[in-house]
Amino acid sequence: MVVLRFLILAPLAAALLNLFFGRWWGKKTTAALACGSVFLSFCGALRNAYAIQIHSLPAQRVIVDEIFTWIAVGRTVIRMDLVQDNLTCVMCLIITGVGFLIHLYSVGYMAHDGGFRRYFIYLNLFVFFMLLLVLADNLLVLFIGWEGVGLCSYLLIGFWHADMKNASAGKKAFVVNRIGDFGFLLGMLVILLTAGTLSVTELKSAVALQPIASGTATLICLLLFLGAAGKSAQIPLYTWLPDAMAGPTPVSALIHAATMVTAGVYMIARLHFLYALSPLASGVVAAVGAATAIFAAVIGLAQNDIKKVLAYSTVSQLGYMFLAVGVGAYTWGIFHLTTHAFFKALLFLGAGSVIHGLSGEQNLQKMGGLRKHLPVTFVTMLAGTLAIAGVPPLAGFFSKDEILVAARLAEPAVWSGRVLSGIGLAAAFLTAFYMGRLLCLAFFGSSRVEKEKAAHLHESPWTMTVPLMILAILSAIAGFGHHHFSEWLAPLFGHAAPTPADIHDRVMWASVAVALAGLGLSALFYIRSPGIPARIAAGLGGLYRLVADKFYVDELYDRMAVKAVYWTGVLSHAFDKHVIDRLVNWTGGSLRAGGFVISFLQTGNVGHYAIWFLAGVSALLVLFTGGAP
Amino acid sequence: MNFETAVANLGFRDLAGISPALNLILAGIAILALDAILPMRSKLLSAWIALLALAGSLFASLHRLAVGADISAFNHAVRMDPFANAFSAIICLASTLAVLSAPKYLKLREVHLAEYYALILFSVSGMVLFGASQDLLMMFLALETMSIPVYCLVGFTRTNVYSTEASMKYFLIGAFAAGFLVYGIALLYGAAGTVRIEDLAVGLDRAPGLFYSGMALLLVGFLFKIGAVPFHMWTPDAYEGAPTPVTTFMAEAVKAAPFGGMLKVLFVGFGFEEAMQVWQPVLIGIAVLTMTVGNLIALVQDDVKRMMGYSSIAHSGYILVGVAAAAELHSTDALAAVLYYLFIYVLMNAGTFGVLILFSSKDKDANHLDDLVGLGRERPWAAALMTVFLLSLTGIPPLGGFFGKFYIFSYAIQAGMIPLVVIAILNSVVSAYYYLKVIGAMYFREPEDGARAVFYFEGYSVFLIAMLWLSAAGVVYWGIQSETPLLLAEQATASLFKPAP
Repeated sequence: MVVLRFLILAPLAAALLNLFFGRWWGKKTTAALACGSVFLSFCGALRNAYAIQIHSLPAQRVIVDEIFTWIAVGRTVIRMDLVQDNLTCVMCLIITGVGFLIHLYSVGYMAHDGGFRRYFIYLNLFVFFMLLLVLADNLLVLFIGWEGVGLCSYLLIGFWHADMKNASAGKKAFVVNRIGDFGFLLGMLVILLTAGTLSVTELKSAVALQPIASGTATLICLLLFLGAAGKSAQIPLYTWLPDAMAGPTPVSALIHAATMVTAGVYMIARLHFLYALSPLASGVVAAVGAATAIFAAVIGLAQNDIKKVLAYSTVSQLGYMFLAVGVGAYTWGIFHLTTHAFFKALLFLGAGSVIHGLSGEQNLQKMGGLRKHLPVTFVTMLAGTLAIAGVPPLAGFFSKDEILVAARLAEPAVWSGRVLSGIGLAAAFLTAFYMGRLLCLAFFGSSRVEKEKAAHLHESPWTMTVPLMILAILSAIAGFGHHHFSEWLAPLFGHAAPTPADIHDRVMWASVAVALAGLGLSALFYIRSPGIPARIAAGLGGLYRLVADKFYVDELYDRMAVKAVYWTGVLSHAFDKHVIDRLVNWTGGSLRAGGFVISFLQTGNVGHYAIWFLAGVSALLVLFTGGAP
Repeated sequence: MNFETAVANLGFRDLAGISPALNLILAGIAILALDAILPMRSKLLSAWIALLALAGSLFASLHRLAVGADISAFNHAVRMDPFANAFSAIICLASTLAVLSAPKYLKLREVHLAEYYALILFSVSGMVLFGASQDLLMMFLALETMSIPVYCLVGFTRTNVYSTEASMKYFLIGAFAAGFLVYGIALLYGAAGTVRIEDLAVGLDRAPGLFYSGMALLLVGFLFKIGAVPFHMWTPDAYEGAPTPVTTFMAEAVKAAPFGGMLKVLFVGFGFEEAMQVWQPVLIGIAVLTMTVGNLIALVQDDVKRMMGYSSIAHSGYILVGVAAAAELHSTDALAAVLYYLFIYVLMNAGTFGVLILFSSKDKDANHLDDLVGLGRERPWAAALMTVFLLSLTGIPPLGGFFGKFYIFSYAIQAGMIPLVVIAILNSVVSAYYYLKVIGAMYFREPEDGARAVFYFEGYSVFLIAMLWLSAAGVVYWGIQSETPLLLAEQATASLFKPAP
């Protein structure tokens, strides 16, 4: 096996090398270093997965790398330990595997960008922090990774920071995540207070020995979930993710679809033993997940920006994952995370290829008929769309199906299993519909591309199409591994209970039916008779506007929270300027004046020095002998 | 034991015992001899010899410290115990850094003479023996051995009026202070009938008046050396007038060494309850004065070198807080915090002066704030290093300066001296102003005429660059890894109260 620190250090080393020495070598070396380091980590992760696989005893199926003791204060000891078990194996393979493909894709995508080196430094740094997040044994170390990926996300959303819009999108992501992080920090503090440790391994054995009181466990889990909701864009903190599409498209694929935004799901799966103690918190997670899934899917229906559609789709799919972990189906939550990483990365990269081919055009209404011009992109995106819609036998079908079955069978504390699975099915229908809409608008029908852009229309270079093809194959076949997958994670989450065959069949047929119905309906609307959507939109009137304008949630937050904070800021600023600053200036001024006066004693005349000296000697003599006879 | 047997008993063991000092003296003599034989080639060679000798002494002291060697030599006049070795190590480190900073500056000023290094080595040998002295006469000898070469060094650029003036002033006031010191020794001898530091206590019962007067005058001598108010007046003048490498040497080695003798006299000679009750409150008062005056005057300085002079006065004040706390707590661990502070202080001070030397050119020093404007853009690495040193001097975590202050202040809090700590921390806040002013000049001020500032590495010296990086690495590394030096320091101070072998 490979020592874990090398796994995470490879991308960091590449980032530092490119940072310090990158100006002396060209783009090729920069790209080779960046891609190579991630590939190296991928090989290491693969090797570790194999090493874990061949161990027959469950106790040995963990790789631990104790690096150093970071903080030791009193009884609290924070160690910099990395741990790789079956769950982290999956995550590492996704991060480095999909990460490598996206790095490769970026080489082509960013080839003409002035910030080429900066881009790859950020990207490598992101992989480093993400691996740290995933491998950390201690929650505080995990939090470093958590904040680190947030930082990289911020930097990459605002990558083209010359445009104010992009910069403020980055800022929005950062600020909204702060709210979640606050919950996460509080959750960690409560854990530290109750269990006395932040190490997940120790926490697990401590909880197994003596369970935490259910009230405390609920508090911890809800606080942590607030953090997860921030990072993974769930209601009510999802608003940053659609705006985050301001970054380069490969970034959206890597950070805002495949890896970073799934950190919340991973964290809950990682702490599943805590959530098992609190049915209420789990119920909340499931309910919020389901609500997000349908809510975001509805908004996705009416978006015209190709990346915005995918962004809301990501929010919606993340909702599915939370639904899964909320009803206790951790295995299927992580499985959906995996398949989603494949097909959503594929869809984003495909969208990127379209945007690249169309010289930056992102509006779906200005595309159409692209399938002849971008054949590879079209075929791969078709695979991705079928996968996410849940058409068998592609990957999304299996993972979504298992989640719906698990939700149907669960007895959550907040909403009933029937409701949850019903919402899930409805969201699946909407997903199939808006993805079909995206595909039809972009690739079918007559071309609505602007003239000057149509002239430059071209298929992307191989560094971009090869990752697309690999991801398309993965999206197509990954679903067949679902039995192996559940076996693989069984040491952590236990074996899945056998499901009653009738319910399983019913849910399966229903989900296939809604997927096909959604796709069919979109084909009808957008290929056969393109007039219908406009008529429906006109018929719905206000309701349509409501959806197209994302239910005015941003405006609502702006009114309720942002404005209030803003005015508090204005008031504080005034107080700071007129009260505190004056006090400080006054103090500083008088101190300076004091120094100025005293400095006159320093005349430069040795005689004066001697007089002061003598005064000092006399004072000392008096003080010392004053008490003596 | 009469005189003849005492002399007859001297031998190789005694010489071996003081080998860290002896080594330096021999190297100094070798440099002088070499200069006579090979006048044309001796300059850089002398620098290398000095560096080698200092490194030898440094490692010998560190080794002895690590194994806990405790050697008495010359009929118990000198004791190389872990305490003396710790000081020896700090001083040798400080002097190494000072020597590294010298060649470039001296060459530019055309006074690159071999004598420079010989003088430094002689002075350092005095410093090493100063902390090792077991009786007051030995201590006085060591003090003069360390002081006289420094007077010469301050006036080393002898064609420079300021340099000679500073040398003269320093010498006059120094002679003045030495007079008090000798007088104090005489009074103590009169009271106790001995000059052995550990036996001084008997003087209190015999003649308390003489004893306390002697103690006061002795303390005056030490307070003068460390630049405590009101005996500090020479510091800014001497620092400003001296060639910058000499200032470096003075601000670190000449600053740290007197603490060795002072701590020994205070805690071994006057370490018993009655005497401590007298000197400890006085020391607190002097600490407050020293910090406040040093920081306040530093606020209004525009010359970085002079500002650093006042800053060094203020730092003496912080160290005195630690000494007072150790006296209150009767704790050798608190004294160890003082040693750690000195160690870090040496590193950060050396670095700050090093950057000033880096941009000194043939005709003028780059000492003024305005000389550093735009450094951040033109010479990012040098500016970054300077920032590290200044932030450490301010006491910003995780740099060494922070932990130095942190340990001293936390011991003072343990000792219940809350008001003193509040004053000290307020003083740190004041000091932030003038340290950050330099950083502000480097990064945030534009040259007034809108032209680009130009910074040449005139007389580029690898020695100097090495010194800067070493100091910066030390400030960062030994700040985060403060445990190791602190542990060594605790061993060192613990030996202070063990009977001599």
